[in-house]
Amino acid sequence: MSKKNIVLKSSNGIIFEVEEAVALQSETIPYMIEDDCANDTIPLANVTGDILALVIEYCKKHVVVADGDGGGSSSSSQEDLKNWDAQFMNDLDQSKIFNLLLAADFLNIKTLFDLTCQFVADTMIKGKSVEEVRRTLNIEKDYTSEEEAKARQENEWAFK
Amino acid sequence: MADGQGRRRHRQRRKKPIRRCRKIRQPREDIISSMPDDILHQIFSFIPTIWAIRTSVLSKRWSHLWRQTTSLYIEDLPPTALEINQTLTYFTAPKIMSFHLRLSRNHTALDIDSWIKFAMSRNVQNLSVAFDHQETRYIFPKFFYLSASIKQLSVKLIDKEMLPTCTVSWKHLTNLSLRTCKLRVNSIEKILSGCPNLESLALYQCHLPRRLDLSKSLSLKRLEIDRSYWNTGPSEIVAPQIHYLKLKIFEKPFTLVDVSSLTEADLNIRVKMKYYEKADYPHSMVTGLLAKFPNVERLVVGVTVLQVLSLAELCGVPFGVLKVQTLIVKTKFVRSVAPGIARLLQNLPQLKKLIVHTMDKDNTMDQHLASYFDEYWSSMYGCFPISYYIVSILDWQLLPSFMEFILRNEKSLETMV
Repeated sequence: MSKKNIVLKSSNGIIFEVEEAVALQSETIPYMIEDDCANDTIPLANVTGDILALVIEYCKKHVVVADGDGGGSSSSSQEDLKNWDAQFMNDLDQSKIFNLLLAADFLNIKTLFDLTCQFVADTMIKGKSVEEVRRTLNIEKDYTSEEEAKARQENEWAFK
Repeated sequence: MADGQGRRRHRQRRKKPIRRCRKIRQPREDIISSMPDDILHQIFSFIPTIWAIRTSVLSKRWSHLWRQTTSLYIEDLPPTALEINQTLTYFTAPKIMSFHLRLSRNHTALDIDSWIKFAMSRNVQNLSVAFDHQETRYIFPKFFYLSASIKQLSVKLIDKEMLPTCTVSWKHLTNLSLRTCKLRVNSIEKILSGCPNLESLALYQCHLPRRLDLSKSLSLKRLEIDRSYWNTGPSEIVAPQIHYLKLKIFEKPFTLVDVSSLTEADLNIRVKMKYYEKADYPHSMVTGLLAKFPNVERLVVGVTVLQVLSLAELCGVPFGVLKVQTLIVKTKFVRSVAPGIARLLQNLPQLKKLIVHTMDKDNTMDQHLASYFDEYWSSMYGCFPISYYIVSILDWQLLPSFMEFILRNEKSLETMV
């Protein structure tokens, strides 16, 4: 069986050629293929090359397992995938993580979107003090002390 | 996408000649605050709602975000019932996707009712109620059993009865998961007859009647049963329509009366007893279960199943040929699994793919088994360590001899992972 390839072009003009099954984990790409059938290359104006490379790395890993393993959700190799996912995320710096999250949202790759959201939630928000979250996410405090105190008061239990 | 600004800033940063070390120093941009609300709500959905509420004081951008979140995960540590009541009034989303209530303290039925009502009045799709303490005398109110919005429901009661006193109507429920609940025959019947679209049922250590007949749930495709403690039921399953079965059982007798549509099975057995009498061995039960898998194409077995099959081999208890094409074994490379794997492979003539997962945890039943049967197996499978010593030997060192062993037993295999 011959495998069809799909050519993706990042916002900064980098070309990636991937197997159809890899690209079709994105629910956005099929629409782009339909809309743009005259042209073989699918331009992804929202995704830079370095992020697209990560997206493809993720999709390649996940397509192999889905294909080879019969696709059953009970698969014990899901454990391996989980470990791989954790390592994959751990190796990324914060801006890559955010841009990967946005790319997964744009390309509509549900599992990658959930993975990145979960990672952000677990490592940047959960279990941290308010000050730590601000520092981690580089959020500038634009509250006056009174305003902040008022916000705290509303759900006082959550800040004990 | 509303992230254009963030990405532009990101690119500018990358042009700088000195790259920052990752994770040690954070980039200075605040990318996350420029993300659209729905993405931030999605991020909130993965953690208990207390952490979303706490973001309200980060900055003005975050002050109201948590109020519109559509996935709530409420625990009662620390908030009191009064505080939960107060906080729930702040949530403004007209529709709630998921509501997870986890209670570790006693509350009045009035309070618990009102929290469940809160979720149900906002057409919750995914509802989970977990009682983590035994004392509760809470009984689900009638309205709990009547919902057209719920698609997924998960209930955990600690040894308490789930007793619908009215008709159950969960028209759109597709996934039901019950943990450590007690159910009588007519309660199960009421629940099942109220869920015409049920596709997936999971029963984790529930106290159930001996016989579980699911044949009237026509949409049911997936069944998961954890009966790994002796006092939990059921021990007989009638489910001719299911395609997928995951079973975790204790060594006590268990029968699959009818699972004739099964194409995928995952079998695990928990073996704790010391074996004094051969008659106690669970091998007849396991071979009996395998005999109910005539059309299974994908089979997952745990290490103890392999060990029990080794016992079956030793005791001369045969089992028939299966049509399995993909076999996944979760095992350790110990001597006591080898005869079982060998027998299994010989009985799977259509096997195309074998996936072997080595396990971290030592939940084998080795010690009894190994000491008892080691003598017998040492001549045939001497290259594998007896389990008692496995802790000091790394599994991968045994991989070559394991591979050789597999290939000796297997002719039709196309892929091995």
